[in-house]
Amino acid sequence: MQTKIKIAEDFSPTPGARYYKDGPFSGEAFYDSLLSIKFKEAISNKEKLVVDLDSTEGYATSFLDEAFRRLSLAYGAKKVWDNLQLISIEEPDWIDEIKSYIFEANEN
Amino acid sequence: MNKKKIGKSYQRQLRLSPKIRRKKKRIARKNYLKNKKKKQRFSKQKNYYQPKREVVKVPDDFSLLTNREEVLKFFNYCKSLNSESCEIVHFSFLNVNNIGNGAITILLSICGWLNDQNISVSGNYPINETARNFLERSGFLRYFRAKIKKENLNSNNAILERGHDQTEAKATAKHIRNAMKTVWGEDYRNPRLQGMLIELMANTVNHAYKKPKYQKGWYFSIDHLTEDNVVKFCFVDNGKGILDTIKIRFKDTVSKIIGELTDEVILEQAFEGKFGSRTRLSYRGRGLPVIRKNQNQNVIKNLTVIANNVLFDFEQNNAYKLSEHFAGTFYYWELDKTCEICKLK
Repeated sequence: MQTKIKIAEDFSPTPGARYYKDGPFSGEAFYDSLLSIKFKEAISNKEKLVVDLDSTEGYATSFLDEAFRRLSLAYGAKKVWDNLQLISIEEPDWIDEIKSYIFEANEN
Repeated sequence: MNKKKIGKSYQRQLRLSPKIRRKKKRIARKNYLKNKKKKQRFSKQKNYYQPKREVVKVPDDFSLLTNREEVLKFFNYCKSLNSESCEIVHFSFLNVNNIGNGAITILLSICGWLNDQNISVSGNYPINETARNFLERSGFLRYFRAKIKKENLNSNNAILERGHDQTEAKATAKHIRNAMKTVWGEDYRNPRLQGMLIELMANTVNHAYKKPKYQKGWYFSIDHLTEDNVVKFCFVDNGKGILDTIKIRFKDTVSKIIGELTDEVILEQAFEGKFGSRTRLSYRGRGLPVIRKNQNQNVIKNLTVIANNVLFDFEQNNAYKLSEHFAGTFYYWELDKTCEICKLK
């Protein structure tokens, strides 16, 4: 069975901003409560983590940036990108955005 | 003969014993003194304490679109008030004949700022019926003890005053769906608009209030023009304004001093993402380019930003300097049927 996160159902249909202090359902909270745990699980199962971005009310760039930047800092950009499958039919641009966050994280 | 002249009450008193008479006299004197003190207290109360009250006349044309300079001047005057100069500010709307959504949203944020300084706020209604109806439907009066006509109570319009230090994604999502219903007849999602709003709220709570002298809180308002299928949005913060908030690289600051880089150009470039954020973290400061992208991709229309002393009209791609300074940032945009959206349920 594939390791999968559907943000609208597993986290929140209304994701927030970057940090915990910014309000509920922040990117930081998403990383700590779901993304890092599921990614670790997927790696140990030798499979890709599928992240479905569709069906939410919308994302702030700060939310996506914080969650995936942290993942990239923890595991390295290449490892994260190779083991991640992003689904975003509603807003295909987000996939490229997230890719840039992942690779830029390690440059800084 | 004499008895008839004296009268009844006097006669009765004559019959009382000297002891009771003295007692009665004592009570009468006591009551007299008591009443005298009471009278004195009431008469003193009239002049005892009168809070300092400042009556501020709201501009007759209270709209940032049609009467920008006067309205900005009015806001600056309101912001110059402090608890030493007055304790009550009374906004006189009597002669107001036109009210804009942006102006009323900024005024609400100023009322919040006055309250933070322990200044009470009161006001009256416009005589003009259209202006009064707009005021009542705007959601402005929901923050005061005020009478609202029955027909204006169930308006979709709202001024959200949320999150002094937090974003409210759930609340904005609900209002965006309402807006989509006004424009397209169905409460579709609009992920790009929602993302932009979270970005604006986050910018406000993260950057705008680094010093205690700036008021906390963002203000978001929606004006539904149901018949035209148009919704007008305003977002206000009373912080430092974008120009002060963004990090301006040292060389740019020098250029500005010698006149190579004007405030108008700095604001334009901020929306292109040329400056990092004030936090100096390279991964921050992505919010403003998202707003511009939404305008460029026709997700929103007629985006106008006033920051500090600059107005940026994105529709005309024109930024110009204002004669009046606005301490904070004001965003205005519209949503209509010509906007590009994916109809997402």
